[in-house]
Amino acid sequence: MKNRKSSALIVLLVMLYMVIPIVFTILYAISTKWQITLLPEGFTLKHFHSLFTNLRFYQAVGRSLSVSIISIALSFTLLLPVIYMGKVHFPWLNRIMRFVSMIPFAISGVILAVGLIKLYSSGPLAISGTVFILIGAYFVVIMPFMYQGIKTSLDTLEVKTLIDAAKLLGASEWETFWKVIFPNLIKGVSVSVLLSFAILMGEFVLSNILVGGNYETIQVFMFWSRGVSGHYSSAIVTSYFILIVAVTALILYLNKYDTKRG
Amino acid sequence: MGTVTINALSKSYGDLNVLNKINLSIEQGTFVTLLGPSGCGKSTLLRCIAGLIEVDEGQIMFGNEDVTHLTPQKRNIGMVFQNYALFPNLNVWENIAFGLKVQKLPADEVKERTREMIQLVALEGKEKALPSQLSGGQKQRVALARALVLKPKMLLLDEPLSALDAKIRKNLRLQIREIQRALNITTVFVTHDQEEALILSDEIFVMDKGEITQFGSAKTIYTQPANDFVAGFIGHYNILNTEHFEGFSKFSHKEGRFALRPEVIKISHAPSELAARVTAPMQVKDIILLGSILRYIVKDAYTELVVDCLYEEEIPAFKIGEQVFVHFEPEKLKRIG
Repeated sequence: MKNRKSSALIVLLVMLYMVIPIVFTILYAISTKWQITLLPEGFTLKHFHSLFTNLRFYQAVGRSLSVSIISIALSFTLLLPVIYMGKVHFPWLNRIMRFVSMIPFAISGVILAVGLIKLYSSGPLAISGTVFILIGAYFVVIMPFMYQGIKTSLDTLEVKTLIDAAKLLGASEWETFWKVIFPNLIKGVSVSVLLSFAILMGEFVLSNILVGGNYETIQVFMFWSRGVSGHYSSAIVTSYFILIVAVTALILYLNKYDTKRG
Repeated sequence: MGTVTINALSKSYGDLNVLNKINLSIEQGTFVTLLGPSGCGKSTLLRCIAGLIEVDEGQIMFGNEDVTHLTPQKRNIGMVFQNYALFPNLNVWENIAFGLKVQKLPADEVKERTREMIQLVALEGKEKALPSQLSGGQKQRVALARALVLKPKMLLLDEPLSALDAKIRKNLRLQIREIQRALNITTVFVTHDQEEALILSDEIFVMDKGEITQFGSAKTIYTQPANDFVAGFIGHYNILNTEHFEGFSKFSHKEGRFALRPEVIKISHAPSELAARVTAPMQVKDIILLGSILRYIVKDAYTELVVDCLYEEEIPAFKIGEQVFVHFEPEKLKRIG
């Protein structure tokens, strides 16, 4: 009993630690003035109003969503066949992939950004300053999470036996992949997708250095808006937080719906 | 399809010779078992028949058709795997109908044949359940229905009962045998369980180290083991050399190795009254209760024997350490070497 109480206390403290900054950010976003008083002097939605009537905000959100979704889709599309082939036909491929997928952890964002600018500012592939370099960089950033998610999902599936069973039922390898393997990967990979999405939506260093104002993402917009007012910045953070929660809830709901199917 | 014939089939992985010039013939409609310990090559042989493993040498014939190099998709073989291999994202109905849909059969036919199979394996009411919502026995029945729905020429069962508990295993093996007889489908069953092999099979192929060491009916395999390995694997045979019989009277053989079934040996307090029986005084070393069987381990200075008696009385007739007489009919002794 004592153990349960102390566990509950620890959970409560951790929750408070995580929730308090969010609550106060939201409060700050809807306060008129909050400088010398314990609580806000008054409440208003004017900061949200001015944010939601600013076209630049929607464009920034749209860019962040686009670049994140494209990077994740690209990562999934390119990594899945490689990991699948490594699992089914060429085990040596997965040894290489395991090593490659760990490299991004060893390189910090600034170093990666400077290296990429140097490499792609001239020559046949001069994409520096464009969204393409950002997609490339994001692909690298999320690779460890996507690789691990896909690999773990495949490992838990007993892929080889399923392929054998499908073959004996007359299915080609392509049919087996689409009708049997792929649908079973989605659930496992969705956690990696969520994690990657949250990382990319909150990413600032790479987007600011690589593209900055050329392709203003939500984080770069937030950086710019700090000069407008703290309340305005808090409104952006609150909106961004709600967006992430909504996307997370949607993916979790879809997963749950899929599990209950049948 | 006719007879399945396998001629001089070999398969190696590097230096490891998994199958060594296997020859066998399976008559249409029979239930045969590949029986052997882990690593003897029985599952590899099954997968070669299915086309899931390329053979190094040899030939596989279905009737007059050489299928050695045909893909699994073109062999029309149904297979049930030890771990079920059901598609986790598809429900019972969809799993069973999968092969029919892949063959793009008309929707009505898919529906009708799937329904028939669900009835055959008694899974009515479970059509919408996902594999994760089924018990082990139900999963294996879905796997069986999925394998049979395409009306395959041959059914391969790769240790399908190993992952199930004893009660379900007993029920399902009878169900498998009934279905096999009803459909008259040639079936190859792989197992390491000699009891399963003896109960289910028309013919048993005993395998050891990539070779078929003996084949025949269950009765032949059990009563006339061809060698030490079969005698040791198929039952709890006593394997004895001539010198082990030093303590026995009326033992007339000169040289050789012999197999003696535990249930043909009798124990009594007095020497056997039948003068023709081979008899020896021994001491009870241990008593093991195996349900309906009471197993005595008896010994003398030359050997140790396993003796199985029907467990009729509540208290065993003999005690550990007691002096007894063991005896058997001389013709029960099978020469194996």
